[in-house]
Formats: sequence, C-alpha cells, structure tokens
Amino acid sequence: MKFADYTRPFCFYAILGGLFLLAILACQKEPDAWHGKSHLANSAAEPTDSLFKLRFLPQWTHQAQFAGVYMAEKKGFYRSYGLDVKILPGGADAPSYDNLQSGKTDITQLFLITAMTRDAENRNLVNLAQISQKSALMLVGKKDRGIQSQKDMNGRSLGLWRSDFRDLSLIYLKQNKLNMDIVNVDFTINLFLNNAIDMINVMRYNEYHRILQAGIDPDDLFTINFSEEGLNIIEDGLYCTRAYYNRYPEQCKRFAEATLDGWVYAINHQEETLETVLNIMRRHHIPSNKPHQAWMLQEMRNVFMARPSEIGILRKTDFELVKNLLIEQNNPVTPQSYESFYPNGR
Amino acid sequence: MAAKHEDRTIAFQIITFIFFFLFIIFSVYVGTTRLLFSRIMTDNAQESVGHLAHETINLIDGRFTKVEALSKALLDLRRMASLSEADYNSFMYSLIYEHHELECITIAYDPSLGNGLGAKSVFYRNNREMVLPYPNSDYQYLDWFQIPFLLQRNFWTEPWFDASATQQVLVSFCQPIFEDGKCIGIIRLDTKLVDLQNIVTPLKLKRSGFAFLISNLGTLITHPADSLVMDESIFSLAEDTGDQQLRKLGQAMVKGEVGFVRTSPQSVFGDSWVYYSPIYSNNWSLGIVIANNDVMRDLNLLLIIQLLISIVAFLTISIIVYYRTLSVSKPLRVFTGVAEKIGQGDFNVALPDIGKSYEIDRLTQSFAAMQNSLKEYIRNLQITSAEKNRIIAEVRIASEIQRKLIPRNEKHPDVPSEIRIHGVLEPANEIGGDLFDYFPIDDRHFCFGIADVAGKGIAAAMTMSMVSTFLRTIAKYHLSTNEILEQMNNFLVRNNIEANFVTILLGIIDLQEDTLEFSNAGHVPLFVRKINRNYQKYAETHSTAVGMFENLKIASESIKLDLGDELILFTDGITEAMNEKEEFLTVAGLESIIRDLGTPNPETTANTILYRVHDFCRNSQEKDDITILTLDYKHPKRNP
Repeated sequence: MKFADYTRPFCFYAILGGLFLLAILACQKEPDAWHGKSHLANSAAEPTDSLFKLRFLPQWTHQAQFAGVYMAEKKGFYRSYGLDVKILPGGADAPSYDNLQSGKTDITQLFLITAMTRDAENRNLVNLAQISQKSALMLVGKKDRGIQSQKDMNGRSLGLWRSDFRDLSLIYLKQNKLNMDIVNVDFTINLFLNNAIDMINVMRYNEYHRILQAGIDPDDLFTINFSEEGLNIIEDGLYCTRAYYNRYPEQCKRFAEATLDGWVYAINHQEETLETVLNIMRRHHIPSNKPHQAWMLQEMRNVFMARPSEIGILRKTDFELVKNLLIEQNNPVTPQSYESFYPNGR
Repeated sequence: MAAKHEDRTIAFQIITFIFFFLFIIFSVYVGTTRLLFSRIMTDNAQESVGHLAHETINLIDGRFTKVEALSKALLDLRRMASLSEADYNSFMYSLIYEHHELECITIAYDPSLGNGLGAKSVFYRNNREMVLPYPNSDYQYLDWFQIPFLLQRNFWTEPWFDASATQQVLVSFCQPIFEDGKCIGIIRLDTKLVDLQNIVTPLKLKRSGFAFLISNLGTLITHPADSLVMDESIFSLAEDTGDQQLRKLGQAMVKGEVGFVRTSPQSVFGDSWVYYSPIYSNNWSLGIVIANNDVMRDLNLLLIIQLLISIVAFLTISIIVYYRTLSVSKPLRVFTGVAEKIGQGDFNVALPDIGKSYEIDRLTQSFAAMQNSLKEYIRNLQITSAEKNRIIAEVRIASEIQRKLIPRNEKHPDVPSEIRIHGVLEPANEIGGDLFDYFPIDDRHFCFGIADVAGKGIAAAMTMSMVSTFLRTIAKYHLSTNEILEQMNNFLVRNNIEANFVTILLGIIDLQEDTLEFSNAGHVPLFVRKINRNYQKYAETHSTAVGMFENLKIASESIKLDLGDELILFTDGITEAMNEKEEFLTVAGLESIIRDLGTPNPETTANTILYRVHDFCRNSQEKDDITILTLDYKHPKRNP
C-alpha cells in the first residue's frame, strides 16, 4: 500500500467525496450502492438492526489490494454472517494501527511484520486471518544504470520506505554483505524513475507495475524477489485488539470467514471484482487505472493462493520466522505467543 | 454443325471493350497516383503538423523558460542582496503579481541542517498576500524537494495537486539553493497546469486531429478525453488495449525523440499519424494525432473527382458509340434484309443506294456482283439440270430395254419341262454390264449363258445388248458352245468400239443324251450340285475373255448330267463382293455358302446366295453388278 506520490493530492478529493457521500446518506437519499447498505437502516431488504455493526479500515486508499473485503460486502457475505460492515476510507491520513488503538475502527489490515513490531508497544493485537501467504516485496534497479547483478548493488543508492519493511531490506543487505547508500523515500517511485536513486524497494502488485507503466520494460529491470531469497515474510492480515476480540469473539471469526469467502469470490470473478474496485475508486475520487488494478488483483490472487491448502491461516513457522528475525535485528517484537497472537488457530 | 449465333450487338461489344480498357487505365492511374502522392501528402502533413507542434512547444517552453528565469533572478537576488525577509517576500509577491505564469513561490530548507528555517510558500488567495509555513514537516520526502535535492540540479515536477496553499493542480520548477557549494534547500516556482492545458487542448487539425501532452514518465497531462488525464499514462492505455505499438510510441516519446509514425487501425488512435516532439525544458513530449484519412483527404478527394470524371466520360463515350454504331450498322441491317430476300430466291431485288462510306460502297458493289453471279449460276444450273433430266430419262429407257433382254423368271413357255431355271440380276447402277440368258435352241437342246462385260455405263450396256442379241441370233446355227463363242469373239472384236472384253460361260444341255456342253471364256467357275448336296467345281477356262483378240480358239467341255443336278452360274460380282474390312467373298466363300444350301431348288438357291452375299457386304459402300443363274435338271421331286 505504498502509493505513488502523485496520488497523494487526491486524498483531498477523497475526503471531499467522503463528506459528500455522508451528506447524501444523511439526507436518506438513495443509499450508496456498496457503502450505504452496510451502515444504513435498509428497511426494505433486511433489518440491519438485527445485524452486528462493525467497522473495517484498510491500511491504504481503496484499491484491489482489498478486493476480498469489497466483494464480501457487495455479495452479502457479511450480512449472511450476521454482520453489518462499514468499510472506512484508508490512506496516509488514517494510519491503520493508530486508528485501531484509538478505537476509530474495530478491525484493520496490517502487514505481519508491522503488526508484530508495533505490538511490542501495547501487546494487544489479535490476528483474525492471514490474507497474504507470500511476500510481494522486491528490490528493482535499472539495468541501463549499470545494475545487472547483485554485486553491482554495492555503493549504489537504495530508496527505502521510511516506515514498513525497510528493516527487511536492511536485513537482506546485511545478509548479503551489500553496502548501499540508503535514501529514505516516501510513497513515490518518481525518485527512481528520475534516476535520483539507483534502486528502490517496491511491492510487486503495486509499485513494480507502476514502473512498467512508466514505459520501462521488465527486461530492462534487475529485480530481487524477497520471496525467493529466504525472506518470504508474509504480509496482509486482519487484526483487532484483544479487548474487542474478547468481547465479540464470534463476530470476529465470522468477519474473518466472510472476508476469506469474499476473497475466493473475487479471485473466481475477477472481471466483476475489477469493475467493483474501479467504481469504488472513482466514487472516492482516487485516480483509477484499470490495467493497474487488474494487475494488482492478479498479483493478490497469487499471494492469497500461494499455499492453496492454508488459505487464510497464519502458520506458526511464519510467526516464528518474523519473531526470530526481529529479535536478531534487535527490533521491537511482540511478546505474545503464537497461540495468543492468533487465537483462531486453535 | 450449327454455328453459335453471336447475340451481342456491335455497340455492346465496343462499349464493353472501352469499359474494360478505361477500367484498366483508371486502375493504373489511381494506383500510381496514390503511390506517388501518398508520400508527398505524408511529407506535407508531417511538415505542417511539425510546424504546429513546434509552435506549441515554443509556447510551452516560453512559459517554462520564463519561470526558470524568474527562479534564477530570485536566487541571484537572494545571493547578492541581503534583503530582509519582509522585503524578500514583498519581492516575491510582486513577481507573482506581475507574472501571470507564476502561481506560488516556495522556499524550503533542508531540515537536516537544523537551522530552523523550514519551508514557506507565498501566494495570493482572494487577492490577498498569503504566507504559509509548509504544513508538512516531512516535505523533504516529497518529489519536488527530494528529487532536485538528490540530483543537485533543476527539476520540473509531474503535475500535482496543491491541497494546502493554492488548491490547484500545479507544475513546479524546483531549483537547488546552493550556499558555499552545498545544497541547502530548494526554491520552487509553481505554474498552473490548466494554463498549459489551455495551450494544447484547443489544437485542432483538419477534422479529427488533436494534440496530447505526456510527462517524461508517460502520464497523460492533456488529452481530449479529460477522464484519461492524470489517471492514465500512455503506457497504461497501451496495456489496457493490448497495444504494443502505443507502448513503443510512448517509450520513444519519453526518451525525448522526434518522430512521425503511423498507428495501426486497431490502436487507440485508429489508423492515424502521430507526430511527437519533446518539450525541451522538462522532457515532456507533445503528440499530435491526425487521422490518415485527414492526411489523405485531398488526395482521396482528387481521386474521387477523377473517378467521377471517368464515369461521366465513359457514359458519354458509350452514348456516342451506341448511336454512331447504330448509324454505321444501318446499311448492314438493310443488306441483311436484301440477303434474306436473295436467299429466298428473289435474285432481282433492288440494292439500296446508301453508299455513304467507302466500305459500304464496296459492300454494295460486292453485293451487286454476287447477285449477278448467282443469277448466271442459277441459269447454268437450270440448263444443266434439264440436260441431266433428259439423259436420265434416256438411261432409264436403255435400262428398260436391257431388262427386256433378260428372260423373266416366271414360268417360261419356251423352257422345257425337264428344267427349272431362275436368274437374278442386280445392276449396281441404272444400267449394267452383266447378262444372263436362256432359251431352247430346238426341242432337244437348251442353251443358257452368263456374261460379264468389262467396264460400266452405257458402253458396257451396249456391249451387253450386242452379246445378248448375237447369242440369240447365232445359236440357231451352231450347236456347239465353242463355235458360238468363237463367232461372238470375232463379231465383238470387229464391232465393239470401246473394245470392252466380255467373260462368258455358255452351256447347251442335250436333253436326250443328258449331257452338258459348256465353254468358259475367262469367266468364274461353274458349280454343279448333286442331289446328295455334294458339289463339283469346274474352274478351268477354255479361253481368255472374248472381244479382245480376233480368231480366238475356244475349247468346250462335255459332262454327263445326273438326275437332279443343279447348275450354279454367277458373275464376279459375287466372288468380289466386299465387306467393310475390304475383304472379298472369294470363290471359297461362295463354296461355303453352297455347302450350306438345302434341297436343290433354283429359286431358293439363287435367293439364298443373294441373301448371304448381301449379308456379307451389308456395311460396304462398294457395289458391283450381281448376277446369279441357277437351274436344275430333271429333278425327281418335281411335278411334271
């Protein structure tokens, strides 16, 4: 959910759009197609009063990265599980971990390594389901800038995100005895495209494709996929706080199951899902680019289905891998046990 | 074989011919013109589109250059004069005020220097001067700061939305601020994107042409389809439509190349030409799209006009040819009528006087000559026909006379009761040279003979008549066959003008002695069939044919006749009868016929042989006189 910098200005539009929507809903006009039903008294269909109300905050602005949640909502999976889910607009202005802790959302989505690092602080995170089963993190460099192999990386500049996952890249550099000039970057690939830096870390489903969409061919890029380098740190998972989980354990499980159902539906109905995602993005004035969302959905399918027999499950080995890695690097790490962190596994 | 009638008129054929050749000529013309001129049209289009593109690029570049110059001026002022912050702000306000290209000026210092200067933006809002400390403490990670800071050189940003200060989509020029050779910050001058869009969007070329602008990363900055702007890049469009050619075009554009390429009909732009050239200040690229149809419009129009002219010319020529051909072929139609009348026998029909041309004049003369020739020919034909009819009538009479000379087969009062005799003579023509005859010389002697005159026609017939008459006359005085024939030989040698020789077999039966004396002068053999159906062949000739050499000595031969003997005489018309394979029947063939014969009966025997000979030569065209004479002697089963 790193996003190219030029999308940032559109958050303003997104906020405006959100306000506009709320205004419409407040007037009890025609309910929004996907948003309205979830949190409005929809007297004609089902009495939503009888449904359990729940808020979900994605960790970034709307995009195909959260397709399963949209489809679970649209196809009525949540309602059939007795849930009335409100999907909140995410983005830089709504950091998911902070909003979860402050109670602005009930459930959110976090990378596993982020969750386990941040949990050192409050020790109250509960993983409800593990969406991602494969790391999508990559390092890329331009071959025509002289980066043809791993050894060419020495002495070059590498753009790392200021927050998530920079540690993983640093671990990789240390493991491979590479000495690179680290440049902190925000959610932009433009430094890389303008040759202000030599390499950058990207998510395969997002920034990597944006680089291709700037006219650079895959053959012209040197890439390192962490999933193939012994650093397959799985990513997106659904999280709530311990307090919330203890109070509504059944609803949390149902939310996880309905979301996984939504993901299966999204993967089996990609065209419909793509239209849904693009509609949501347009409605929130987020720049939408169909081939990019199609790419993202396809890549999300790959990370969701990476271990077909363990869809949605957080394996203990993954938990331990991250924990050991964080300890090894002297990074903060959750003191929780695997069973406590992922109670649904029992 | 009936000739196939041509049912197409001359006019039709000429018009078809003209159409065919006009079509070929026009096709070649169109092909050549298109080939030669399409290149010229393309070059012209490239030139005019190129001019337009460069004018536009100069406008945009002028704007950019001005912003860059203002930035440089600001930095120079900052370096050279130690102005107070208020004075410097005031100067920046006046710059923004005076230069409509400027929207906002931001000065940002590297936070890591720890000088606490931070960043601030100066701009106008509702005509009020505003100073805004940069709200985002992380501005050092934004493109406009970080990229020029890292690159240590000037940088033009992608379009971005300034939500905090101007609330506009801006394009910013960012210049590093150097102090003591170290980059300490960035000065950013913003210009409105909409002003650039207003330069590019109104560009219209011919009917369908339009211009678009992409950034150096491929983002669509302006495009007639507003929904694409900022959301899509030329590469995302290419990916969405699976258009590899568009991706290649985009790559050439972002590399800052200049080109004029044609896109395929399946591409986003359809069958069009795209001229592209970079904006020199910031490596953006301007593309101008013009439909191939527009490029070729004038040429196509020219060709359509040529086509119409050709059609009109063809129709005009066709009408002229049609009526002219009708006029030219009028005498032909008249002559057709005349020819039909002549064909019906009216040789005196008057020829029309329509000789308006050399050819028709010649045709009239030829017709007249033909008419006269035909008249002459018909007159000769009539004379010849009359002559022929007279000759035919005379031949018929001669034939009749000749037939009278041959005895009839019906019961003859002169034939003695001991003898049954039957003769058949089938002349090949109206009159023939064959002959048979029989008659009693006295009560005891019965004479019979068969002869074949060499040659055909009147001469042979006359000779045959002479032989017949002479035989009947002289037989009264000589009772020996060799004497009769010797007399006949001398008579013929002396009186036969044509010198036609005659083969003859003559026999005299002595009814009391039961003997047969016969002489064969060069004739085919005599067969004597016994009652037990065996037969004897007497092939020995007693002389050559008569009528050639005077005083010819001829012998004779006598045989004893048994009760019921059947004598078979014939001419070489039998043995030399020919089948379709041109094989003769031969004597051997005749013998096989004789062997198959039943009970002796002269009439049956003669008819059977005749039938078998006809059967043998039924498919043959060759015809000779056929003569058979058969007689039996004292047949026991006969009723006296």
